[in-house]
Amino acid sequence: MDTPMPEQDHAESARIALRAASAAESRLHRRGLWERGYLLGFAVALVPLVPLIGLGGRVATGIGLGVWTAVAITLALWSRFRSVTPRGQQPRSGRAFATWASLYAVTLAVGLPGYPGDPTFWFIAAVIVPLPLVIAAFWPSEPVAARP
Amino acid sequence: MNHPRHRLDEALTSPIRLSIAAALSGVDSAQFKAVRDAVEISDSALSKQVTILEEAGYVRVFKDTVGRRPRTWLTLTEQGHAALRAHLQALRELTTTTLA
Repeated sequence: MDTPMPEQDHAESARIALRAASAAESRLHRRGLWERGYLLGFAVALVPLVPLIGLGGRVATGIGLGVWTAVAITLALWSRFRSVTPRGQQPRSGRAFATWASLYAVTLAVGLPGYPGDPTFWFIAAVIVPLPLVIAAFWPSEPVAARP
Repeated sequence: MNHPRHRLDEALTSPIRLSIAAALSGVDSAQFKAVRDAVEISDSALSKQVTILEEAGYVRVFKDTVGRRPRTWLTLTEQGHAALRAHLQALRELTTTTLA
């Protein structure tokens, strides 16, 4: 004959199940934090590139673009080998890169004809242009049901 | 029939299946081996539990390749997210019913 489980046992079983669910969610979520490094890697690579293009002339621009392309390819390949796709990664990264590209296009359109060789403009741009990537890297993730 | 235990989802009453669904709820998708490590079970046990969750419509399994290496990915479906939310809510209520 089945004996009904006492309420305390139901509650304790539920607490154990909730703790285990939260721990599993947390372990897998941590593996998705690579996206932060990926976005920050791009952002850091952009900081020297922006003034190099604005101030450095043709040779420095070529070197800067070459190094940045190598960094971009390395990060893109590295991201392909990650074992977790973070929640909301594609729209978040997509928005960040689209905003960055727009900001950079405006910077080049304004800066190359209007501020050639002006360090103030290009160093400020070097800080502002990568910001969408930095903001996306630290953007809070959506609430998850399994988190306490 | 108002007791929260009646609202527990049968497919998620197994602690391992609940952990799999909970782990997947925090990511868009994860490789089989990453879920195995997060839930701390063997490949065969995970495979068996994933099949049950897949049959319930809670998990989708898909494959891709990087170079020549095949990879198996798991993702929690919208139906799985909804079932997990409801199940967790019932569990949370269960933890408080005896205190009330």
